[in-house]
Amino acid sequence: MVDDQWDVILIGAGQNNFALGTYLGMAGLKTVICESRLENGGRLASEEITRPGYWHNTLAYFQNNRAVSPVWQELDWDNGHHAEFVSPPVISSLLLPDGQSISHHQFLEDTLSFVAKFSRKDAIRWCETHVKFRQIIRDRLIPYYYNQPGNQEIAAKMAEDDAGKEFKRLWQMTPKQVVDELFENDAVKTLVLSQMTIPRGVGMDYPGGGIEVLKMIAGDEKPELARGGSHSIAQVLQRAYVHNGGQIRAVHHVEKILVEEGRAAGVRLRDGREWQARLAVVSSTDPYSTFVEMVGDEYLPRIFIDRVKDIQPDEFSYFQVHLALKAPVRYALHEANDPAVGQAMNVNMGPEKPDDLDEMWKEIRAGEFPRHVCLHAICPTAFDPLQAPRAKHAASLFMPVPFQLKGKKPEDWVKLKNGFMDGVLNIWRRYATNLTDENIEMKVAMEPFYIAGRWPNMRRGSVWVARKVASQMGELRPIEELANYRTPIEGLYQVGVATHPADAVIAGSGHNCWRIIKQDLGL
Amino acid sequence: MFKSSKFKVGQVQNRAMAKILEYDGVVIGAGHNGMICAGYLGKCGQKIMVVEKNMEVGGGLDSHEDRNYPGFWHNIHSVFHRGLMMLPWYKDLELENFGIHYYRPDPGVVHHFLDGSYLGWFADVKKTAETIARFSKKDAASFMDLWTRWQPVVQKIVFPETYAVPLPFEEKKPLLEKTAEGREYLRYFETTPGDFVVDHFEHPRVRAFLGFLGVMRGYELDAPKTGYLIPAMIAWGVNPQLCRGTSHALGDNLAHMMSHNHVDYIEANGVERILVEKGRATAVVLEDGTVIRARKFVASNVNPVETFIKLVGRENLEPSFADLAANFRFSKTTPIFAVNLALNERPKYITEERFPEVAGAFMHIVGLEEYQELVDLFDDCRAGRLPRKPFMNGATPSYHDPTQAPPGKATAFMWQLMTYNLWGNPLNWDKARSQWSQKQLATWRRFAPNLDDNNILSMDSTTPLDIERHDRNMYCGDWMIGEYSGDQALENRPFPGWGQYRTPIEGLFLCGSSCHPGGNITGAPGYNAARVIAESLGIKTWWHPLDFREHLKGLA
Repeated sequence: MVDDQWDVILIGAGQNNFALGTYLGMAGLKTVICESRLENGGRLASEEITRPGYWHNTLAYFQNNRAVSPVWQELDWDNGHHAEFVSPPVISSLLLPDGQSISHHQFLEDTLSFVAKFSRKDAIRWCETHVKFRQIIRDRLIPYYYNQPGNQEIAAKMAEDDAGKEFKRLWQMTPKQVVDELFENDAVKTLVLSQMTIPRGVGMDYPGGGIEVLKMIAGDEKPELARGGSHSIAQVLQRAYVHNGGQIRAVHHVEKILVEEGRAAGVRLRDGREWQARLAVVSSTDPYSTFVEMVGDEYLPRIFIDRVKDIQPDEFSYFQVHLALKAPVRYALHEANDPAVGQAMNVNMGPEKPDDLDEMWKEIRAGEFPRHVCLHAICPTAFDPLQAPRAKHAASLFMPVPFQLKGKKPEDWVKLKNGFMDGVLNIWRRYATNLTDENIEMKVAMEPFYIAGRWPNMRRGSVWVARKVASQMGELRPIEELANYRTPIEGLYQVGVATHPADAVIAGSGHNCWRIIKQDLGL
Repeated sequence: MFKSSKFKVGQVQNRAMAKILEYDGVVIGAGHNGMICAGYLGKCGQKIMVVEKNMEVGGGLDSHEDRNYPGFWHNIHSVFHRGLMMLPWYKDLELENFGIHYYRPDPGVVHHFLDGSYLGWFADVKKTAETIARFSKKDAASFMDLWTRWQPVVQKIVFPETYAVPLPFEEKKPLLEKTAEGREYLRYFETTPGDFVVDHFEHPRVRAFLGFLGVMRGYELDAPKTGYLIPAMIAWGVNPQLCRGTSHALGDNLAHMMSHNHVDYIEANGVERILVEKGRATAVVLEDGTVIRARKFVASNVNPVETFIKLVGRENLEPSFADLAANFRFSKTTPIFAVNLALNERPKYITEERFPEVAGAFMHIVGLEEYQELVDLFDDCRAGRLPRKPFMNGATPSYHDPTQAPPGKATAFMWQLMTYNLWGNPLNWDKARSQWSQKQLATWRRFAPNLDDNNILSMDSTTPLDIERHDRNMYCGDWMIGEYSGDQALENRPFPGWGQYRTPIEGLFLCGSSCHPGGNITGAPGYNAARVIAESLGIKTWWHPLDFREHLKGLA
């Protein structure tokens, strides 16, 4: 079979292209996904990096908003393709050094009862905020995410009443400002702010980051661990895609997007083969790779190329520690004071007050390995035993760090990582009472240089590809010219985390781009 | 006012209700055999579910990205695939449509010696014989003689038998005796691989080369009734091929093939129990409690100990059969200790100075200087001790397939056949790992001196215990999934009397490497089992499986 002619060529085997490819396949088109890595799924990765049988999630470790996602339903990912999840009752617990803790629960009443321990007033504010905005998030924000950002109807609806206007006002503020406006207690503020950078990708002083605070307080958030590990979500998406006629080519590195008469006509692979795309080429990699490297300057307006080059990456990257354990991580003192800690998906340690997070950000911006750490620990096997061998456990720790340490080259991380890992483990041990050498069968650190090398779209370890600041969100994500997934090259589309809605919901850009392509191709 | 209402300690929250699914057939284990078997039956219109314990499908088709440097991919289990593109399942299931590509480096194998000489296996048999002739003219002649004589034996008997349900020996013997090829086959049938090599070759290095080529396929030097496999190997040819994007790409493509044929599969959820009702396998229960009903059959791709003792349970078996299953033997000599390297530049072998053609070889053998060392290894493995002298086979995959390393960089590995039960306890491997990997590297370095500290970016190792930890089917780290010996070979595999993929439990079949023709990436157990299952269900096969009995009759 000569496989050099396709209707649509999709670059990158991540969630967005899987969804988009499935829609295209259902419409009867012949598509292929070219993935430069061997493994599909992008950030939906689970690997045996410590010991065989321990599956560690090496970037995305939970998924959210499944119930409100039209894609899940439309593509039948749950029933048709066997997606399975477990949902821990406590979303996150912030541990304080004195043995106290404060937790964010799936159920509002539970969160409130914990917040009230610290401040009755804050609990009331939390409750009010939740009640005020819950419906707006459901009815306006989620549709906003699952539509192209320029949709006027949705924009009009967003601010149609006072609550909507208030919502927009808070949205545009920084997380810090919103928290300061809503709450008085440091622990409550820190609980919220500690969730901003990991996993939500915003700095405390990012304008437009206020939305993440609102989602945390008022959204129907139901974080779920994919049974077996995050990568099983990728497998589900892949099954649906192939089931609908899609083809996947691993280790097919697209070197060039071929442009003929101003139209994207196909791709050239690293090994020199050329494939023709009759209708469209879709790239889910980062815009720099798509335009500067794959398309090339000669086909694009100077000003556009400059703007692509000016897209701001994240200011932080991830440092990770993965442990193969005999026993699940226990926080004996904190659990004794508050059993919720033992049921928390995400355990945060380090910051006690918002200032600590300010300090952390100063250190990150100065290129230092933070002394004011913000640790995110998970022990998925406490909820899903399938992620480790029987009666064994896997745990992971994530923390924001700079991509490049001051005075060092990015590759110096490889030499430095084990030292940092031991330092971070010592901090973790102040809270986790059973992380003894005896309990740890194997430990492995992963650092920003590794992230950048493994996922070529995450340049400089930038997990969100384009920084989630107001000037790069919504209709401006990542730049105005690309906000509707169309590009200056006819027949070439850009999706992925760099585009709206920045993976705020699963396969958002894939779903939205499908609508655009459907329109453009008259399907 | 803010009283916690729903949250209670210890309460299991949000646990999904145990699901019940229903399929025509369930296949246990998404190794290549299970997926091939499912593919054939799925294409018959049967509704099939394949259940995999690991997060990744593929079984031994497994690769990992280096844990220190991204972009370097290590083939953790199988690497050297033999002529898959000509196999029946590869064609029938149209795997070429899913983007698989194989590289065929030539020479396929180079066996380096410390004095800078080598033995090689080339696509052109005459070149192979020439390298043998440098050591012994007599051996080269013997090699060419066997190669010529066994061409028709392989084509007419050994290959067809591999891709067919095996016949009991008493039944096939009279048929074989009627043809010249059959008589040739029978001539060496009783002997052992070791005896065959010693009887036909004189030079200790030639013996070592051919003996090791057999041993690394999982043959036992001293196993009766498997000696004929050596001339078959010589005539069939040892031309290993490399899957583009690592071996796991084949596993992925088999998964795509399944989805394409509407076969369902789930991973990261192993089978805990095969339910037997009134002597019939009717369902499987998964780790998370999901029940999958099998309207027509259950096919197990995992070994008989796991299948019968663990999943079916003795209570559902005749005691004599349960004992047979429990006593299934795993090989003591197939487990591997692997050293995987991420490199700035590929290993450069000293042999290349005199013989530039060896640089492009696929498999490299180092450290094995004479036949006796191979015999010693068997003793060491069975005694549960480290080999007295390391010798290994390995490759530089990125040399042939640049996708396996970042541009300009290299990956390479070396495997040592090794005991699983080290010093009486496999857990000793966690202690012995780093010392032994250094020893293996030191030996390798004598042949490829550029493997110095500046060149090695990252070094990782996999012990025989790790093999078992990763793949619960590979008991004792045995990737052959059962010793390959006369009483566990052909129609006797896994047990005498049960060598035809059937089991005493109605509706339960075996389709994995514990059946004929054994381990390695052949797809034959899955292919043959699909036929047996289809026949027992009364389904017309859309492909054309060979009936070995009729085939032999036709020859006569």
